[in-house]
Amino acid sequence: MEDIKLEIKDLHMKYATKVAIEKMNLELTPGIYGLLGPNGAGKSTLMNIITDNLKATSGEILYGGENIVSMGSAFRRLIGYMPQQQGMYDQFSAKRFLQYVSAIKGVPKKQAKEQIEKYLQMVGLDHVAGSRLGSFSGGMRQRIMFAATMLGEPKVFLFDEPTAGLDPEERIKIRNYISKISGDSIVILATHVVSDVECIADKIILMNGGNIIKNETPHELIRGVEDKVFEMKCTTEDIERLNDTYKKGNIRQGKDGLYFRVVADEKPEGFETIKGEANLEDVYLYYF
Amino acid sequence: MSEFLRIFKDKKRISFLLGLFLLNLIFILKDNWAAIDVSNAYEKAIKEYQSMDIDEAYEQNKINVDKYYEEAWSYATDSEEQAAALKKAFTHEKVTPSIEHIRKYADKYQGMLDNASRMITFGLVGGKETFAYQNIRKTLIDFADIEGLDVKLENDKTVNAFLEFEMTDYMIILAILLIVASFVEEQKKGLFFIIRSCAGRNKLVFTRQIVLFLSSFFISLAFYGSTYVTFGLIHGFAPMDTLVQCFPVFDNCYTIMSIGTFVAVMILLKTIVLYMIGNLFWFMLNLFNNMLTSVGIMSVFFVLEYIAYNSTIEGNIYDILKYFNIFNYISIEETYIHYLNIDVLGKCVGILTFSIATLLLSTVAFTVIATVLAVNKRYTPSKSLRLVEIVRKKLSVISFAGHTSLARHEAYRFFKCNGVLVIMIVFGIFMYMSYEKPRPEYDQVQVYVNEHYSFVEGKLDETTDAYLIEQRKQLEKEKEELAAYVEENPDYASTQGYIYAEENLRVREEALNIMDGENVRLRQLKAEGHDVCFVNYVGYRNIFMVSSISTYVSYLIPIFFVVLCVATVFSYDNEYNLGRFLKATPRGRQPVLRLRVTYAIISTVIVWAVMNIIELYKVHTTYGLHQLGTEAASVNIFVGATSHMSIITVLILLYATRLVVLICVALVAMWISSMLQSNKISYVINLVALILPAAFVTIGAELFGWISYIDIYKAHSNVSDLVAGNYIAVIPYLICVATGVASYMRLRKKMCA
Repeated sequence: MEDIKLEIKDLHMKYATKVAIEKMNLELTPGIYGLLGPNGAGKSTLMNIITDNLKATSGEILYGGENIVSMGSAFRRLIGYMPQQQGMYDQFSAKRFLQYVSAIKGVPKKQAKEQIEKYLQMVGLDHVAGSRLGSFSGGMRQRIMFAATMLGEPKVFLFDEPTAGLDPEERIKIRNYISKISGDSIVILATHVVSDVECIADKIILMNGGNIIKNETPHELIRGVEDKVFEMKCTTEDIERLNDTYKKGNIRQGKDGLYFRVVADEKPEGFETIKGEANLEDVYLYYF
Repeated sequence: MSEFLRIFKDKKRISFLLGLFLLNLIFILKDNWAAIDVSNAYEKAIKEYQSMDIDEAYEQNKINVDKYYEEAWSYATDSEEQAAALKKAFTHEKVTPSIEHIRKYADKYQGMLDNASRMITFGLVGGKETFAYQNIRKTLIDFADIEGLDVKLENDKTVNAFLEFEMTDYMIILAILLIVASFVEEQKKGLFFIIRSCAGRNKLVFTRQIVLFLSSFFISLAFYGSTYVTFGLIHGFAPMDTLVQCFPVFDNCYTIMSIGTFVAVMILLKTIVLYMIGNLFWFMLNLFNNMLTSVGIMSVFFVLEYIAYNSTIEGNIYDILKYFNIFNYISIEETYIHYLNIDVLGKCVGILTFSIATLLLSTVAFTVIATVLAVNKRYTPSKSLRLVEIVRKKLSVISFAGHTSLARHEAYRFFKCNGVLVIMIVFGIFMYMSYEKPRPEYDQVQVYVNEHYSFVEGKLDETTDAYLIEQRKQLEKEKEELAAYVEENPDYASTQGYIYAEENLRVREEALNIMDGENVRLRQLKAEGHDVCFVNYVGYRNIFMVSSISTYVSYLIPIFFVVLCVATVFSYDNEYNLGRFLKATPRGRQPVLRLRVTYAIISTVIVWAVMNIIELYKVHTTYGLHQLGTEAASVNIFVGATSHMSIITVLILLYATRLVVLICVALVAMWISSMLQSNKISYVINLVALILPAAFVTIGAELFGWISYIDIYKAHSNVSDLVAGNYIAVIPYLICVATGVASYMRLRKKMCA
């Protein structure tokens, strides 16, 4: 049986004076990993190193015990990468673009035909397969990119901000597609949007400034901030003052009015402790 | 007002318009600058005859022409005095048609009357209801006003040059397309919906019509006005109130007007033509929502119109296709200088009237259609017409759809998406339209040399020696006979016959001296071990020794089209953000790179093959390329030849090096393209980096030869040096190949590392 394991060992990436990834060590086995962090945390850099778009300053990444750089195209045959930018040829039709992607992924013709039909149906775009990509909306383009990522049935999926710019309905669709595919694959979903991963990820990797802060299950992370969540009832006039005072806070619309929510080690004055209602957003607020 | 400012304050647009304007002037100067001296002499000659009565001028002109030719023959061949005398003779000879035209014009109308009367009397035209009868009748009516018209001799060079110069017609079309393209900018910049939701959206459409009309007028005025003035400065102006009938080119023009009025009418008519074309393009842009599709459809339309315009034979029922045609409108001045009546639904109509009437109708029609479409437009980004979508879907079934071959997909991307197929078609049309068989101009000596070569070509033995000796003996004999005759008849020495005879003997002797010299050279080479024979060098001279501006332009053309083909190969990925995605796939690196480079080389080879096959064909059919299997040393242009290379090997070397240079240019262009984020920028940077230096070399700025590939592409002297054993000539090629290889290595590193 194939040993599906991605090991990141002492990975270090430095751009001139800026350190993008700081001595990272990580072991990934089949499952969905949410890579959560703010802009500039190093998520895309990690993706680019895994896909060999960037050369790391030091360290290595192993797949099945073998260095992915020396594996070359053999490793790239196993990955499905959905980059942050919606890159596709506008003049191609949806079907032609997927055929093109099949060709560059080296998918045999018969399999490619079956997979293209299957994934177009899966993403609900089979009725516009012959239309030009230039005429597609943002959500449709993202779904085509998703279908393109699936082609070749990779073992390692890399989704870089897959829901960027999409409306809530499209976001849910993408999330649902990702949750279907995990199976025996490694799925890395890099995002700064908590809702993208909170329901589907087996583990959440919190990343900031090139470092991994936490690598735990959602449940463990939430438990970690359970007693650190505080709320205060407020009015709209209070919000500006509270934001100035606490910098990072969340506003919640409750049944009886607005609530200002902070996550901190100590309870601020005037706030009430909220027990049992912590969520992943609170985790995000706490660590970032 | 704000729409005017938006369009004309755009720096890029203004730069392009100014660029076109300057390019128009450059083309005028390029072809005419060298003719200033000749024009000054012509103007002087005209002034000389203007002071005389026309009959007197006619006689004096004949005397002057004979006088200057005689004077020329009296001087030594190729001497400065002979050249000066010949120049005077040619100049006065060129005035002859103008003088003859003025002389005969007074009787022109009477001649037409007499001719008509004859045709009717002898029943050559049929009854009054026939077109032939109506044609004659209309002709007499149209030309009635020219009877008794006072025409006088004037300098016609400017008028002729202005009418012959076609480049301006196409420059102004490019200029107006630039203006119309600005009308759809809001679609690309995402402003369409904002503008459509405003109250003034229809007003904007009508404002644009005004912009279009005024632009058409000012463009016509600027371009044609400057063209006329520039020609006038080079060739000299005739007074603007001169009647057009004074110029031979207007011999068949029945409209009485001054040249000033004619130029003004031309500018006005071209304004209308431009306005019509602008509306046509605007209509296409709104119909197809896509610049490339619109330009493509317009190009096809222009090609079909061109074929119809050039294929229609005058006098048959399809005459209407020729005159209800965009190219007829573009060259509408032709309808003034060519008189013709055509049968339009049984009525005899002049082409001038028909052309103007149909032009106005077409303009109104296109204006209305373009306006209605613009006002009612519902824009969906990048969505084509429903019909186009249906056709596209049907075509996708029979095209590459269903295939997962990377080669086919990359071919589709390269030839269709990168527009290389369109570029190739444009290249083909360009080569077809610009093809011109050369007209060999041999001096008398060369005529005799060619004659000798026809006897000795391919040989170098006793027979060739015997032939040359025999020719020499014959010549000496004729010289003696002439000398003896002159001794017996001293008066003969001052006759024209003697001058011609003596000149003939001199020319033949010179030709024979050339052949003898060649014989000595070849014999010496043979003694050194070369396998040589007599080979007529004229054809090879036209390949290896040409250096005029027009031939430089022909070297610029393949470089230009190759760069156009490959300039967006890699910037296309950057523009559509596909670089990272491709690199993350198993075949998105080396295989894709190899395929793209392969297709780039294929398109380069096509351009190279077309250009050089045409060159070889022209030279071979005009001058002949002889004895290809013999040693290159046989051809006297390869002076100092040490190599034993055959002529065919030298030719292969020349053309092979050109191919290598073009491939290197393609690789450099692709490397530049890989560093840029948009296709448009890639075109601009590639043109500036690779084409502009070559263009400067073409117009004489030799310094740019150091940073341009055009001199290496030309390659003549380098190949000649190689034949002479001078291997330093290889160095430029090595540098060129190094740039190509380095570019490929950088590309590979970028895409595959």
